[in-house]
Amino acid sequence: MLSKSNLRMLLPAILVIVTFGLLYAETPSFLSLSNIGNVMSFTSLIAIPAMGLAIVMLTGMFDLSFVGVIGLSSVLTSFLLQNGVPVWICLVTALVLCLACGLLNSFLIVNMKIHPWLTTIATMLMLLGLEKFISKGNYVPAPSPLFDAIRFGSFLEIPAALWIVFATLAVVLVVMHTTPYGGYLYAVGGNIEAAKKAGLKVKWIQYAAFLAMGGLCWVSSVLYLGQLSGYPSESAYINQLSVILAVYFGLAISRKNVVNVLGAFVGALYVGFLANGLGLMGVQSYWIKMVEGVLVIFVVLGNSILRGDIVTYE
Amino acid sequence: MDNVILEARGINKRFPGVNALNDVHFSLNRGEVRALMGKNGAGKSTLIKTITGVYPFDSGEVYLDGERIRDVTPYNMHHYGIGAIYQENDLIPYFTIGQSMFLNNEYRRAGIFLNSRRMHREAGELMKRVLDVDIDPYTTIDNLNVSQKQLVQIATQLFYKSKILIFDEPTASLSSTEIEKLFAIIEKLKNDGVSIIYISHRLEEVFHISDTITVMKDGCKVADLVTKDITEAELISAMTGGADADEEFTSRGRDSGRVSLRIRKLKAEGIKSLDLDLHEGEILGVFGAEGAGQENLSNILYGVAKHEAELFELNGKPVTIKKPKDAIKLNIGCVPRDRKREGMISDFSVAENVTIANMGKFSARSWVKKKLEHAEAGKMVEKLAVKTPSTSTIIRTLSGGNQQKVIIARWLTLDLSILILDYPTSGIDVHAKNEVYRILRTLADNGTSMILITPEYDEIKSLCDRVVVIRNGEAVAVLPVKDLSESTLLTHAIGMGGEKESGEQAEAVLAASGPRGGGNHAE
Repeated sequence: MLSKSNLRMLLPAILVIVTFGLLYAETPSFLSLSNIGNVMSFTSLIAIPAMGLAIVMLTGMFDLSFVGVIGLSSVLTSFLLQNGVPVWICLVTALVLCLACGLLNSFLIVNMKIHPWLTTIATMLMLLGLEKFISKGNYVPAPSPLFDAIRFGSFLEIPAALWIVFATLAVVLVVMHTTPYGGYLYAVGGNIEAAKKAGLKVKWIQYAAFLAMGGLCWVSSVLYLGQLSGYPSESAYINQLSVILAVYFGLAISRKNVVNVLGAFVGALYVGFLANGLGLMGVQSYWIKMVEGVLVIFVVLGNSILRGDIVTYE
Repeated sequence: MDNVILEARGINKRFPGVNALNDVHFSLNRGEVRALMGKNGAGKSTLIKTITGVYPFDSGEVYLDGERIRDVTPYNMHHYGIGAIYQENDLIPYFTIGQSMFLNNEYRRAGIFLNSRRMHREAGELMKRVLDVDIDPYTTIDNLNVSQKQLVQIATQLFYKSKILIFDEPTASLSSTEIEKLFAIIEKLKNDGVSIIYISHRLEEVFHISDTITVMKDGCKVADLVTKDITEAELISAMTGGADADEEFTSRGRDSGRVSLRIRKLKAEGIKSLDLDLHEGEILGVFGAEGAGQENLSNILYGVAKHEAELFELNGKPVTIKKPKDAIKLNIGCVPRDRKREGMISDFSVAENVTIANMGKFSARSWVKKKLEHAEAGKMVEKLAVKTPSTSTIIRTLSGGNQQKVIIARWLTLDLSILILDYPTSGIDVHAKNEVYRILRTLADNGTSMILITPEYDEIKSLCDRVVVIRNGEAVAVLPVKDLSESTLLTHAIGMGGEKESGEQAEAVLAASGPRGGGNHAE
């Protein structure tokens, strides 16, 4: 029943379970429901932008500016709230801002042909600067019943934040896999000439990828505001590498060796649980980063060795 | 006239320094198979790329069904029903067959949701019905072989109701059964009224499959022939432009007869089984049609690409070359084909480019002896007449010919026994070409043996002592260059005539053989 190729598909899952099994053996509280809920909520801050980054990356581009977009969107929302603007207007304004940032990035990359890294590092700096200007580098509280509901509310024992994450994941996966648009993104990233010849409007698709990223940044900023009841300056920036790691982790364990949204989500979970598990085990915080790094290499390398992807040199 | 489906009139296309297409007229009839033939660089691919809109042409007109097409872009030409099938370029690697065929033309439910099952079912049916191929439409493109990828592309084009299909060297990496299958498909398409342009170097294929032949030479169309009315000899003579120019050649006979490099049963990518003997002091030419296997040979011999060989001897001693460093240690140098990518370090100076393969000589305890480096480079610049302001000039700013001289100079700082040259005069002008020839001759006179891989007959004629002809990854003939004619060389390279050792015999065969007689399969 278990053919070799089936086994290969299961490998990443097995390796992840082994890692978490080790963590669990040390600290039973690791897999308690409340801890899982906690970690998932924290992980959502990584998972949502990771899904966006995956979308951008699979069209063959890159985006680093999301940390600035999330930050500015969060701070702007809080700022408007504090000035008595109704919450829904705050949210719509923030959404428009996020989409505009996506448009700016794609205009510079697609039309002006500036390298994606260069473009998005520059826009990231601009946006982080604006964020700092408004927040003055402090925690900006966002007093609103809506954000309290996201933080404390739950439905069927599952926290509201998780519902938002899963709903977002579901929508993105449905668009990616059951409508043609996901395929278009893959086509542009896989062979841009072939995509052009098939008559796809390649530029529009690249724009769409950045707009999707903008939208997901907005969702992230709502989650930040909900979970932290406000936005501590540069929070998203601190998680930037975790987001990138999550996407690449998803790529490394994917069967076809392609960036994909689900992989990015799984990668984010892995990153989140790892940091949490090591913390619970009582690993000194100084060591956590080191151990995280080793474990990521362990899983990725183990996965490719067992799949037989690595060519050995004499 | 109304049988003409595609017509190109007076197409001109210039690339910097070359007239790639010169007033070319080309017309294609409904339901015919037209072979497009010519030597390497004759302009076949350029013609196809202009017709399909990939290269914009400088002047000329394109008509489809008698109507002038004003906007010749890939997108438009595709939608007018011209489909080109290249080796494997046009597929998205991680799509399934079904996804590939229906890209941007998906069946949908409720306007937005993919009807994946229907697309895959129809893809499978189309493959089965039209191409008679049983294949799971859920297979990922990455998991298909070259032949299957080709079939997917053909099926996709047929799905779009293409009226004209262009095959560019379609059989280059197919096995003989796959080739037969492809021919059956082409025959079927023809009967369904599809017009086909078939580019190939293989004579027997062209005579087997085509109705008419267009021959190109140096960017001009030289003949439109009806296949059944001509002989292979006539076709070759059209390709080479009639009589072979018998130009004078300088001192040959450097060949000492002693074998310096002896290789038996070399296997590598593109090479099935190659025997090669390089004599001490000779320049050995290697010639083959595009895709015959010689493209990768310099990389293989120099240790960049992997190889296996039953025997690999240098001066009677077995050696192993697994990386370029091994080759350098054995005093084997290589001037690669792609100068910009593999040859020079663009941002280094002339002097640094000269010394890079031999830093041991120009450094002491890891410090580069700049003075010595520049002195040596200066000597080389003078010796090879490199036109450069100074030895500190950045190499990228020099002309192609001068860059190539610097790369050759690199190997002169070593005491070379063998130099491998892969089309050393590609992209450099005539004057520089002659200078490179002069340098190589001097080098040979001083005792360096050389392997010269080149697609140009003239280059072989003016430099080499002997030439190895490669076809389908195997050496099919070793010919002395002295009395070699271009038609003999071409005859061996594109596959007719016997595997004769001498040019004269091959020519005799050429003269005597009937129109389709001499097909000689390498398998």
